[in-house]
Amino acid sequence: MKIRKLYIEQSAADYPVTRHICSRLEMPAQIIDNPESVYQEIGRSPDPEKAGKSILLLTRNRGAFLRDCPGTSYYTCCGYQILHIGTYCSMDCAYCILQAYFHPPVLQFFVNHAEMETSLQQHFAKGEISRIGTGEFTDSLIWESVYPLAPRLVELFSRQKACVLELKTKTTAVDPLLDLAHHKKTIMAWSLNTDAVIANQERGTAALGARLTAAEKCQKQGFPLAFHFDPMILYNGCYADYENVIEQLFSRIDPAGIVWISLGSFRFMPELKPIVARRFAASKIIYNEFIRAIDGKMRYFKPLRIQLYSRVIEAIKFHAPEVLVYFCMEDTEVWQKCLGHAPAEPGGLPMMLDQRAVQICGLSGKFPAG
Amino acid sequence: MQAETLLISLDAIDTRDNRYQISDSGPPEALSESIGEAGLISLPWVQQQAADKAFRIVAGFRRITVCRKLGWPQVTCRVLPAGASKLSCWKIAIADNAVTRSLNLLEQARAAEGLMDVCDGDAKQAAQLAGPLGLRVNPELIRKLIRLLALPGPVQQAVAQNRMSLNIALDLESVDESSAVAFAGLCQNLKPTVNHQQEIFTGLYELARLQDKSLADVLARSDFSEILHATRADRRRQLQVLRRTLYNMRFPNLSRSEAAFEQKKKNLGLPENMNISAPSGFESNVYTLTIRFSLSRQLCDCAEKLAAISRNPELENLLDRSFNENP
Ligand code: SF4
Repeated sequence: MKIRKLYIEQSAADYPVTRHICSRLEMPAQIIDNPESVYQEIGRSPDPEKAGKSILLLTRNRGAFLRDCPGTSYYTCCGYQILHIGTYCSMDCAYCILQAYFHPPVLQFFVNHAEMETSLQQHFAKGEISRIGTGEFTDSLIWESVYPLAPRLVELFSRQKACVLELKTKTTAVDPLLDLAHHKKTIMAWSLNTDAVIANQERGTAALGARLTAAEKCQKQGFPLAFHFDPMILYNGCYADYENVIEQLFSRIDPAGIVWISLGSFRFMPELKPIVARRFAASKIIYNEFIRAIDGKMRYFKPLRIQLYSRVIEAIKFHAPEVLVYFCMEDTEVWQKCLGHAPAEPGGLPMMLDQRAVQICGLSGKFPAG
Repeated sequence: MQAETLLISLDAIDTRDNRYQISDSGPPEALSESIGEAGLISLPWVQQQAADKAFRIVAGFRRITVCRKLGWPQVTCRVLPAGASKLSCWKIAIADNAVTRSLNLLEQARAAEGLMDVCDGDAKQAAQLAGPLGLRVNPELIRKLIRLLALPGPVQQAVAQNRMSLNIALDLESVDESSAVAFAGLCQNLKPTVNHQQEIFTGLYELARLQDKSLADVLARSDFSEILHATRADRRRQLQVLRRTLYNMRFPNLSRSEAAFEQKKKNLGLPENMNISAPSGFESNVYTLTIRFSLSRQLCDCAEKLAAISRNPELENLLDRSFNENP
């Protein structure tokens, strides 16, 4: 993570996390009363989405640390919970929804970790099976170069039995985690894509081989693993390329240690399109055959999604028939046509994933009601 | 501004120096007739250059052209001194044009460029100067107008003639010159509405990007060039066919599914007052039935027909979503 400017909100200045980051970054910090001035500075830049990637704002999370994943009703949501540690990302993927989600997007790291830990402890105390991740509004591991949050989270989760943490990343920053006593309560997860997508659409992320090497290291240390083929992108030759990724994956990773693999195809809020066109002039990903879906997002015409998923599932099942494959935000028709079933009620997909987490990560507790 | 009124030989006026020219086209017929009949009512403005040099026109390019055509040896002009500032000259040029007629966008662009020059690129100041001269432009519009002047001539002309919107013209900055010119030609020929211009440009641009071609190359494909060069074709129909062809190429799978749905609907033979619509983009599997009626007995009649339709195997065929597996 290359930080060019460091801002600290007045109310966040006295936190130990802030002091730690300041000493680690060894750069002058500006204390501000109100983040508005930072937002304006970023907004004035000719490329605000890029500017926001090198400006770090240390602040407090004034809202909830634990939130429900913002799924929509028509598409089946996984019922994951988000641990809100910060926003935005120092890597730069063309398709990244965060570019359009925050106005303007800025790297914010929340420093009130005591409150975060209290929220977690309260959640753990309920004894309810749940899956919690940090990789929704940011990448889970980009922050490690400024603050070692992941090791602390691994430790916290290792001390309870009902919840599992999923750290989802496109980095290889796993070394500080390898020797931790995780007790399988942390799932190390990677977003995977084809070499062509990584090279052309994911600036600053680790290469596929490097991601798999990091995953291999984690598997050796007993961490449960997960992989997310999301967003899958259609282009000439993509089927063969995705099959090739799957072959590489299973040539290095034992499927028995994989908790789940998710699939999702490229979808975006219409506001993202002009941003991609402006910032990634060579990228063609926004020009495919999209329709406006029921949640207002642009999605590939359904038959194209079904065909792509079916090919990838066939390849996964060839190598790992037992592995749990699920869709991120797809409807019953897609589930039925690609997997031959839809998540069973009651509980649906969240229950299916919870049960899998129980099986692989050794969770024990009550299943959530509803 | 001090100006003298002098009778000047037309040979002493340098018509090649067009730095203050705002008018975009040659003189209209009516102007020639009026000057021929009544003489010059409103005098052109010229600026004295160094003593031995010709006069430069500040305002009245078209009037002077008419006088030349009419074979006049001399013309009475308002003459500005050599030391008159650029700002004064531009004020006169703009006011002289803008108070008598509404300027088209290309003319506004030329006027805006002149004001920006004297305001050292400060669009806010330029806009403040423009208002009292009869040119209603805000700083944002000024910046857009200046960009228009960097586009190829045919694009500028299409905007001047209201065949292309300024925003679409500015979108053409993202394509090569021959593509911009080809698109301007399309707008000149087919006169699409602004919404259709946007739709066609977006479709062509995206298709070109997907095919690694230029927009001009896409337009040169036989499917399009046949439509564009059809002789004796009705312009509205041509436009409709072009939009449909473009849609089919841009969304090949979706448009095939839509066509198949329409065919199956025909096979079902719905009465004229009933319709079934497919879900938008075939994303959900919920179809919509609409019935139009005004009397209760019409509704009863519909209910009977509906019962028959629901037993028709063609309905199953219509709702069959296995097309989804064969894009
Ligand atoms: S790694 Fe994830 S969060 Fe970071 S830019 Fe890429 S998509 Fe966005």
